[in-house]
Amino acid sequence: MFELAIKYIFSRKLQSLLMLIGVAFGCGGYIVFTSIQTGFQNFLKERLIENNGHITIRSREDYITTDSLAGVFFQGKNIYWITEPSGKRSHDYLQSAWYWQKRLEKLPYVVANTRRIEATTTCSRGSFSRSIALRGIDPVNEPKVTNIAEDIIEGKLQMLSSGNNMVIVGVELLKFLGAKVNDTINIINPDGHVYPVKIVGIYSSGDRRNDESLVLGSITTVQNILESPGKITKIVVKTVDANKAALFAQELSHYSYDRVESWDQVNVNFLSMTKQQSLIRQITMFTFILVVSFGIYNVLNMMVHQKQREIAILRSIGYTSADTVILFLLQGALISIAGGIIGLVIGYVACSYIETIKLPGRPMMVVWDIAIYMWGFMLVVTSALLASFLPAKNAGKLSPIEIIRRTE
Amino acid sequence: MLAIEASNVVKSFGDFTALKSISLNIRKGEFVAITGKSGSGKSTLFYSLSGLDVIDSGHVLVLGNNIHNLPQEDLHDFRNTKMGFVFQFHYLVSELTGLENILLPAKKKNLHKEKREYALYLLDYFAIAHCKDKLPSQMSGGERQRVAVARSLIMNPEIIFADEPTGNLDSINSEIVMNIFREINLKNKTTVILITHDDEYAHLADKEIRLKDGEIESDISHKK
Repeated sequence: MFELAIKYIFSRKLQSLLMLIGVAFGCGGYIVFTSIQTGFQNFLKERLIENNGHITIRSREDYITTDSLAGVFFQGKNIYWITEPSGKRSHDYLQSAWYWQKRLEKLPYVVANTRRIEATTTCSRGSFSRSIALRGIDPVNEPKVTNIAEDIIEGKLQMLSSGNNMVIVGVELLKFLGAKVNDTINIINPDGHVYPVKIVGIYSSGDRRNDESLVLGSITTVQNILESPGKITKIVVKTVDANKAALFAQELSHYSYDRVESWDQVNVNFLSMTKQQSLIRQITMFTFILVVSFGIYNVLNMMVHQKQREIAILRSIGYTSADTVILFLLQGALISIAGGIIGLVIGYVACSYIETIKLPGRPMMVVWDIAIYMWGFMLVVTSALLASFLPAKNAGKLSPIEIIRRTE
Repeated sequence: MLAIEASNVVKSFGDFTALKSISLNIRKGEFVAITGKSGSGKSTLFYSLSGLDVIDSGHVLVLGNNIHNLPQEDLHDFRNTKMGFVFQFHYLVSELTGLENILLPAKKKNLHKEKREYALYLLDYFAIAHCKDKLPSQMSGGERQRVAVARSLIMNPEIIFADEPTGNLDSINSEIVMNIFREINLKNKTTVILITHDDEYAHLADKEIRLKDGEIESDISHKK
């Protein structure tokens, strides 16, 4: 049957070639789309994690409602509010940062943690001023949790510890202020007090929003500027597995009333966007593979129709119904396997080329994962086999005597 | 020893009864022609005797086997090894060469290597050695039919069923094919059951069974 299947394939060169091309591009297309999209999503995910760690711990905000006060001042009484209470009850700072750090150090799934103090303030130089994200970090522990040190293009993170009032400034902010390293700029705290600081480094992440607004200082420097000695707004945690961060965050949330969030909980919109992207890709690929499968189905169905006489003689000289099913199924299998292998090569070559394409600030992100190639191959081969099965089954059902009667 | 023993074979198509309780015996090594006018039931009898079609009642023993009661797998095997078929249309596989077509039944049993020499002998014997590597589309009608006859012989069957094998051939090729059947019968003692409406070819047979309206009208021996 194998030889006959090969002969049938080569006797209809154009049809076989079209089926082969369909399967090859189905497989190659799946690999290219999936590799690029996964690469892009991984890139964005890494950017999110590298700046903010896997888990952040900060103080919880409570909104005041009628229920918040009912149990405190007016127990057991019906209260009719003339003006309903509203507002927010919160601490801007973590009350138990020291306790958190001691606890985190003992947990097996925590790789490292670091403290931060963050606030939105303003900086100025001459007549230029801009709202900034002022971030006080621990220059020793921060690189253990995030990749922020890799984005310092001039100077070093450790220089923040060399003295008070040293800052590293985002590259775009630096341009806006017209400043350079070793220049002094002013930071105005929320109370309006002006603090001159010296630029010791430049930060460039490629994320324009960060590069236009981020100013990094040591925790002590930022505490001084904000006039909040000893206060910490956030603890950032790196765990053993970023994908399990939500699980770890849930466990940590039992320790305190503070808000504990994993990177994916904080960036829920980003994740839903990536899921939507993946869904669109899957629908597109499904439609494409469906079209290819219909093509295979049509070609084989037509072949079964054209080969009825030969099926009849095969059956009358001793070939079974199963033999004829195998004959047509083999054709689908051979074309899909050959097409799948060509598709793997197409996918590999296309991904290699796409990776060399330079985008502003970075190359195209392509993920190299053997699982994508295996999935692409399996997907098209399985679809092609399923598409071949119906015509093959129909061939097996043909009654030789009916065909002979019609022919004679 | 009987090659075929049919008893009270009935076959109907809806309200039309094509075979009306037919009983006949064909001895091993006999050359039998089944004749009759169009619609007399010749082909239906042919398909019923060979097990290609089911019957409504009665039974058919082929080489002692109740052909209509054999399990499907055994029936395929039986057809492959004990029977050879030649039809009016050659039914050659268009993608296979003459030699490959002849070896097709042997391939089912994985005997194509062992049977190759015999296939070449048949090609030579039937004067179609030049068709060995030709596709059916490159052969003449007579050559195709001779390849089909060679294919029916490759497994050394005990019975050859031939349904109007000369129906699509000119007189010269018809004669060649008919002579081949006669030779096979005489030389190999192969039982040949030939369906024909040509009296001249029917007279080549040892026995002529004439059908009329689904019944045996006459059973004449031509043995000299």
